Amino acid sequence: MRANRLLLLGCLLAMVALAPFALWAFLAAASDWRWESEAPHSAIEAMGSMAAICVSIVLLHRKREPGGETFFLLGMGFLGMGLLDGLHAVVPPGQRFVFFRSAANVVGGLGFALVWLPQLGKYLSTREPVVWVVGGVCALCGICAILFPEAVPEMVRNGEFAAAAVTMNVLAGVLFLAGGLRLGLGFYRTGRRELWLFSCIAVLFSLSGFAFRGSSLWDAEWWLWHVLRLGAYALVAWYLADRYRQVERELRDLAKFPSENPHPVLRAAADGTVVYANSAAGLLLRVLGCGVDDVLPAGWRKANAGAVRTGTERKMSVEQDGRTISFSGIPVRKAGYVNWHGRDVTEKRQATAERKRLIAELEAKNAELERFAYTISHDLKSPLITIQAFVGQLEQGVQRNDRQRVRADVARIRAAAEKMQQLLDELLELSRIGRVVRPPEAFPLADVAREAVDLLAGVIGQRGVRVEIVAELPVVFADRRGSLMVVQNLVENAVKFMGDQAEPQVEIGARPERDEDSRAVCYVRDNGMGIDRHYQQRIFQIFDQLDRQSDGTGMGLAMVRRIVEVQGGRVWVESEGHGHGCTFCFTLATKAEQDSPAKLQTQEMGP
Amino acid sequence: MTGEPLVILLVEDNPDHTELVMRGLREHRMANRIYHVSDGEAAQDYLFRRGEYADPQKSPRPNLILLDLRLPKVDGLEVLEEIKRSEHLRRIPVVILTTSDMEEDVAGAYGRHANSYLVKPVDFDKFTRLMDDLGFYWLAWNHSPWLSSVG
Repeated sequence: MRANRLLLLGCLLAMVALAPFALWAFLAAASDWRWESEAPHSAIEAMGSMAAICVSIVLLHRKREPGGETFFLLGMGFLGMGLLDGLHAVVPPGQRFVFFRSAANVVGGLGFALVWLPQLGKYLSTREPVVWVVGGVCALCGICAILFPEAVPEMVRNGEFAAAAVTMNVLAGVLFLAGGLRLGLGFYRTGRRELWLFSCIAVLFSLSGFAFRGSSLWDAEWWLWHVLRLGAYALVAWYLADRYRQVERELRDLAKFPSENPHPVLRAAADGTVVYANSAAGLLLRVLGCGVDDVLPAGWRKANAGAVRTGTERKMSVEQDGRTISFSGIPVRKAGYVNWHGRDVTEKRQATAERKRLIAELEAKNAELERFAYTISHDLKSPLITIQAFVGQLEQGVQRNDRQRVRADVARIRAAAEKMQQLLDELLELSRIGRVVRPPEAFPLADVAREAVDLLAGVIGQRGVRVEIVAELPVVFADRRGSLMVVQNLVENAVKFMGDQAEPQVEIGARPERDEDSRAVCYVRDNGMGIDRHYQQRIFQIFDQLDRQSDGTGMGLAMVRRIVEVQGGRVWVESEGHGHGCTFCFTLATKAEQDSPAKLQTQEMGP
Repeated sequence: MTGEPLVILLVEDNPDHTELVMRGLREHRMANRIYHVSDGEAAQDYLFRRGEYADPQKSPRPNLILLDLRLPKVDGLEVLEEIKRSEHLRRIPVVILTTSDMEEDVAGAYGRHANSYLVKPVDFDKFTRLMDDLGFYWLAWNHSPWLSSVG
């Protein structure tokens, strides 16, 4: 890389070094040659002027690039040189003719030499009027020289160039050489080929300036330095072509950017016409039912127009193949269109929904825990108060020797202690249900129903209840032991609250239709006391008993609910009210792939 | 003390606690008559003279209501709210007598204009003293504005 740079620089230096010999050889061969022809000369100068003005426009536009101050200064040089050369091309040979050429050379050389002062370049490049001042001064000088020919210094004397002309051109040659040197160094440092190119141009301009010294109008040397300048402008043309190709390539690559975007991007005009859509937006356009050059559907059109009108972002979203794509329309008001950027927010939405669900679940759990603490504080304290108080009463009874009361109080104490133990046992059981989830298995519900009835044979017989198990019960996929506890608890509950029913009956069955989660709806129906609508929610709460006279702790239904809900099911009671019997319903999964039970499996954490 | 019989309505679902309160009050001869109901609905029936309490003879206006909070059927706070909403009953002092010392319950009771909030002490001596003080305070020391106007 470095070697390459050195080679190119070497070429340049060789060009400078060999130039005097080449000039000497050339003059030796063609010293007597003269060609007095205005037209080709004017053509060369006019072309040069055009090329200089063109390249100055390109260079001045590059002032904001990194290192742009160099291009700005070169651009200024080319601008002045181009303007003055233009005048040089149109005036007939004479004082002004030579003056314009010399002045053009000095201005151009100045632009090149100033690249040694990048700080100044930076300063000037940020001042917008500088370009107009330089251009204006050059143009004004030209106009003045045309209007007042006598003010122009003497440039030609007796067919030879005067000292002023020679001085100006040699000075220009020095300035160009200085600029060329700096540009060459810049190329060596950065490796930017265009700097090398401008360095070559500077050297050619410089050589033409030096060659001016020995030349006179229309002789061989005079034509030689014009050819050198023509060569420099050929390089300028090369630069312009190269620059055009480079810009085009950059533009093409940049234009690919939205089409390579994996997210859909649309651009719509103010009236809602789609002017651009990348390939990722193809599916979206199919959903919206329009293509490029078509008008967006009404809702989108409205949002589009709103964005253009207010200059603020608008949001739209599209459902596509079960995914949600959210679009934000950013208006570019000056250009009068809206860029719609799409983003797949499916996961984000799902996460939000999941978070909401988890928060709700946590809140419910928290509320349950609070209720739990509440009931414990109340229901465990109750038997404790009984025990304590009756122990005190017992002492008094003993003192008074009231045997009957002592016996009664001891019975109360024992009952309270037993109740407390029962409460603690069931609390433990209840907490275990929440902690341990047994893996679900497929089993016929009928088996579990029969088992439950067998386990309760004692109380059922004692109360003379007729229990019927419906013939067609489904095969369910659930926690078998838990399900047995559910059926057992519900049947026991039904038997317990028969009231004064003369023909107590309990039926275990399942509804033919499934619920919305396609779970089996199982039920335990009785013709007992029934439950008022008012209490139908409360009964599933822990320790909540409608009737304190009944035995039990009020934990049975809480346990039922817990078991069913842990498996993702629901439990509820249906009753027409007091005296109409009631039906307890609960839902159980029937197929293995049917979500929760399998997913809910956890490791057993404790005894 | 006046010569009229003092009536206390005890709303308590736990039979043991009922027995304890009754013994406590009777031993100090604080009330001539204690009426007991064991759930919120029965308390409502008594106070509003419905159902089996429709006969005013069976449901004399109490001079004091001792009310538990967690009751079967209708919650104690609900009963309290209804008492305090009723033109006829709101002057009767209602003393909450419960096992719960949760802030929520205390605030809920006072928010519904309970006249006093007592937590049943687990300690027997304290329980006895509470019954003692309770009777004295509400039935002896306390001036009752309603005796002539209710019932």
